[in-house]
Amino acid sequence: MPNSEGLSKTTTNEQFQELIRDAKAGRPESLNTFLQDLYQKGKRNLLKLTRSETEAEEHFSAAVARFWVEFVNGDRPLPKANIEGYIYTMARFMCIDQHRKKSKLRVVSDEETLAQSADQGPAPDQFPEEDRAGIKKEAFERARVKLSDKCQQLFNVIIEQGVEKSREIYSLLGLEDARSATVLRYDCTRRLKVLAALELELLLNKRN
Amino acid sequence: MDKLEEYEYIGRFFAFELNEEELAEFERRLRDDPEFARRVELFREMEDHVTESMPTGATATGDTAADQLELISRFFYYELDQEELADFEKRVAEDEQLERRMSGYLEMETLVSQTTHAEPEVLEKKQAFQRQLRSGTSTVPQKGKMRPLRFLIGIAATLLLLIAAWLVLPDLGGSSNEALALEYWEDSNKITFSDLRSENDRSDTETALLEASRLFDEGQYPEALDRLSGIAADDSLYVNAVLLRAESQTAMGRFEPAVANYQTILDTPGSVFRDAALWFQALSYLQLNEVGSARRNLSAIIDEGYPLAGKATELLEQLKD
Repeated sequence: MPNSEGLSKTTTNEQFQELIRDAKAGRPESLNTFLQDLYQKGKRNLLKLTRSETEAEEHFSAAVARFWVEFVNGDRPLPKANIEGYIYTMARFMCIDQHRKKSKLRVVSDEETLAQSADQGPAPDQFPEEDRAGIKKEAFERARVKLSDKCQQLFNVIIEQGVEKSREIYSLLGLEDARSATVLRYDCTRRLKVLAALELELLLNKRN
Repeated sequence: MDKLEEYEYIGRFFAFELNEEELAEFERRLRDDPEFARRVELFREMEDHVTESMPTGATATGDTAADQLELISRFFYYELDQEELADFEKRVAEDEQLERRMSGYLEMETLVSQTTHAEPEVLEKKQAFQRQLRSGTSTVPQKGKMRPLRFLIGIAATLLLLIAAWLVLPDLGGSSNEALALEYWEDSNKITFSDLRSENDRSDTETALLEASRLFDEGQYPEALDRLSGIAADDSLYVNAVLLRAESQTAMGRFEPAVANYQTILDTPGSVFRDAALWFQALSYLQLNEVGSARRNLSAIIDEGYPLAGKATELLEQLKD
């Protein structure tokens, strides 16, 4: 299976930057076409993992969307990495993750269940879907209260009061302008994802 | 030495804190004192347990769970440089715990995004790009196999019929904005549906959508609307039906109901037709001389980075207030 460097590099980051500049200027066609070609190039390997074209497309599109939001919608410079390989690697990891989750959701036969109960309990992460949803919700709430006061206020406004637009959030939180609210939201969401994953792990470990 | 002191002593051994003399004593007791040897074993067992139970504890690779999750976060935000990326890939392949953490991160990321309504543009771009991939790669139907909805784009016959339909609409040349809207409508790829499940597996809704698409393609707009009328609001393909209805109404010059139907699509969270609805609603607004609303839609297309952003920019520049 090729890794981020294994996928032959044909586009330099300068060329990529040019495609991004065009997309930012309202001409996204070349970048979109380039990304579609990139999918075709790595498709075979993604299909090996998913055995489903729809899923391969979904994960590749998810990696592209993250890329687009960071570099086309946002103003961040490209990382010093082979971007083609990076997008492909992200898609590949998401395919592997879904495959892993699917295999955990398989129907377990009675024999397997008995063998498992005779063992030392459920394997890590193996909870019925409803239980897992509850655990995730709890992890989310635990993470929320561990955020900074500002982030907590922000999510209270968004979740409790249903206010979503940056131009409304900034005045409610006493921020300088709508852009500050957008930046705060980006940072807090990012932090919340990490803390929530940490809390999820802690809760799953406790229950095992 | 009481039990607590003894465990502290064992802890100092594992933290490399014993001096030479203490180390020699430790080794002697480990060899000669079975009770002490058992405590060392218990200590190690509990140490492993504590490390596994505490996400903030150090992992085998020396970094903490929090460190690893930060690294995972940086990976998904495209922040790793080539060296870090190569190292990350290698570690994910070798370290099952890191792989599991990445899985947990993705799970919680989805929940966080849904609960805090964060990063809607990621979802929108994902859906738009997925549609592009499908339209670009799956034009050949696979007989008898279950397939997702297909979008037939740019069918010349449809365009010709649509142009003909628009030519008979009253008062088209009124203002330049209306003429522009007509020009862009003619040039736009309409969305119709084909190649749903194989004939035997089709639901009534799928059959109705296919027939309505055919009627639309043939320029039989009132008939297409008729065929769509039976699709209930709680049907999973309702949004598809609403889009086709709105397109038919636009083609017939019934812009007000068309605008309302496009709005239904825009009000549907996560709709894959958001970009098309924004675009066609903007063109309908122009026909109704609601230039401000059209501008708002076109700006949304640009801000949200849809493939139509180029056309939206071009049209915006030509609009007259």
